[in-house]
This record gives sequence, C-alpha cells and structure tokens, in this order.
Amino acid sequence: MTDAQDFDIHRYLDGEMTRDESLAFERRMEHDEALATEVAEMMQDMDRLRAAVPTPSEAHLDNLLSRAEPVVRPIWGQLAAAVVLLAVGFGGGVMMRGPGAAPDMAGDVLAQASAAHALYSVEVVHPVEVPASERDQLKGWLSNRLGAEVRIPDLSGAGLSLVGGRLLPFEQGAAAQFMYEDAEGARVTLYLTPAQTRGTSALRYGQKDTLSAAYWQDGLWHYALVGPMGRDGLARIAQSVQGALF
Amino acid sequence: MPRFRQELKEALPSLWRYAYVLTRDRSRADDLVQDCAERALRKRHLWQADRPIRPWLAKMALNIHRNGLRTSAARHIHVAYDEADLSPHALPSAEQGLEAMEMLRRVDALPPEQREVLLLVVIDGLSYAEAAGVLDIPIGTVMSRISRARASLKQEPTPGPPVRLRSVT
Repeated sequence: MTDAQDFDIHRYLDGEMTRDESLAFERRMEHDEALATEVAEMMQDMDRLRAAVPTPSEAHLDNLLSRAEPVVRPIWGQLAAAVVLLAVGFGGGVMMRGPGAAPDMAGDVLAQASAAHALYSVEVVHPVEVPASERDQLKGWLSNRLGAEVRIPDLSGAGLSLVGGRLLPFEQGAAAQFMYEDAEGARVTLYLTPAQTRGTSALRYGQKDTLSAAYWQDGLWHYALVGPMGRDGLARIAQSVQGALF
Repeated sequence: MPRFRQELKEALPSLWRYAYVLTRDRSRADDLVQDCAERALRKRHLWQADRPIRPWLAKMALNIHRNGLRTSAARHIHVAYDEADLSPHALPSAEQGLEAMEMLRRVDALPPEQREVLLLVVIDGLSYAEAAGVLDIPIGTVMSRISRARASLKQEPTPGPPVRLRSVT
C-alpha cells in the first residue's frame, strides 16, 4: 500500500499534482477500475469529513475579527506624555525643561512624527508615496508643498538607505516624512516641518515601548527622528542627519 | 495594513473550520480564532507579504490549542449564534449528517499525528509543504501520514450503535 502509486492517490486528492500529472493519473484510473473505486471512496470520505464541519457566516467572522482589532489609542497623546524632557544639546549644552513649559512644539512634532512612523513603517507594500528611485522628484515636490527647500540627507554613513518619502499634515500646514531602512530592514523615519521663527534647540528625546524619538529645531525647520533603536543608537543617527544637513 | 487585514479576513473561514475540528465547540472555536487574529494583528510586522498567511495562522491555532494558551478568555464576550449564522456545509438530508458525524468519529480515533496532518490538509486546505512547515516535519512524512490516515478511515468502523436513519423528508 505504501508504494509510490499510493502517494499518487493522495497527491491527486489533495491537489498536489500538476495539471499534467492529474491528467495522467485520470487516464490511469480509466484503465484501473480498482484504483478508480478506491479514489472515489476516499473522495467521498473527505467530502463527508468536510461536511461534518460547520462554517459560520461572514457576518459572524467579521464580528470576531473586529473584536480582535487592537483598541486604537491616540499614540501621540501617550507619546507626548512620555516625552522625556531631559536631553543632551548638540550645541554642547545640556538643557532642561520642566513639565508644563508652554507651547510645546517639540512634543507636538514628536507626537506627529511618531504616529506617522507607527503608521507607515509597518507598511509592506506602500511604505512611501514616492520611492527613493525618484529622489529628485520627491525633493522638488516636497519643497513646493512645504514652501521651502527640503534636503534629503544621505544616511548611508549610518548604514541607512532611503526608502522614499511622503507628504503629511501637521497642524495647519504640512510636513514631510522620509523613510530609511537598514540592512536588516529596520526602519527609521525623519519627519520635518517648517518653523514659524528661526531658532535652534537642543535634542529632546521621547520613548514609547520599543520606539525612540528625537526632536530638534535647526534654523527654519523642526525635525523629528523616530526608530526602533535605543536612545544612543538614535542619537548617533540624529548626528548623521545633522551632519548631512549642515 | 489594508492588505494584511484583507488576507486575514479571507483566511478566517478555513481557520474557523480548523479551529472547530480542534475544539469541537463553536464558542471555543470563536475564542481560538479571535486569539489567532489578535496575535496576527499584533505581529503583522513579522508577516512577509509574499508568503501565504494561512499556514502561519494554522500554526498559531495549533500552538494555542496545544498549549492551552488562552490569552484573553476573560475579555471575550461570546458572540451569539443565530441559526442562520452557522450553516453546515451542504447536508440535504439527515442521513448525510449522520455519515458526516460518523466520519468525524473515525477521524477522532486516528493516532494524533495522523489526525493533525489530515485536518490541516483537508479542513484547513493547506498544501503538503505548508502542513510540513506548520508541523515541522518533512514533506515525505506528511504524505505517509495522510496515506495511513486515509487507509485507516477506510476500514470498517468499529461497531457502534446502529445509526442508520432513513430521511423522512
């Protein structure tokens, strides 16, 4: 029973054969009544087995699926609350801000950047609107939309290659997100939005679960960098960004 | 993630049927499917778009079932079934229903390793290669277990109460 022909019966029943193999097997059954009967019996057994198992309605399954969906939490609210206000300034100074410090641009930018990161970095098919292969077009388009010349930093020195970018809303205006990827596929996003007034700030960090985020202002841009690494790893990439933009 | 959710949704009917043959209980099948869906959504970043989702879900279902790992039993609110919600596949007669139950009983009598392979392939509809991946066994072993399972199912059933009924409809 356990010869090659025996396996053929099962490969036939279970759809494991190529079309040609199936046709050849069917031709063999035409000449071998015992084989044909055995196959027919097994097929009937399998039909009975399948018939013994009920199938719920689509509505019921949809219901189960929607109950399995994670509760959508406003990640920006949580993240803003979790922003650690102690930071190392890249100008050499150390700056500290107490909680409750008024208009918290850093918190807002970090929150939006982190939400955008969470949303798009997991995308397999459409992580970006414009891919890195159209870098010049990406740069021109985003510069137009943001009203100032955007520069896309080259982070290959930090082991990151550009995946592409997209346009996003930020408060009343717009922001750009550039996505980078390392050799292992870990994704880092750089988020930038134009500032109302020129300025320079220290780096500020936020941490949420396994994501780290860093914010700084440089000239007429607010920047946020978000990635799945520890704070030190992120700080090194932030330095590469700053180095590339200067 | 719309594509992931779509794939997950499309995989649910066969996953539910597989969960049902594992648990033999509608509510427990619901729980198992919900647990799998929760995990899949939480770990969707581990899923590679070019790989079929069903073997991944089947492995989850089997692991959760085997380990009795109920993640969120307390949170589950049971979804009531209308009769309309649950249709046996296509059983025009009571007699066919009994034949189906008899077949399930015979499947239950199979050695566990044969039953596992048979259910993955016949109920969940996995390919031999996918079933081999789920169970971590060579594909040749899948074939020989399927073959032995079907050979045993063919044997005359052990005599039980005579349950042949004539349909009176």
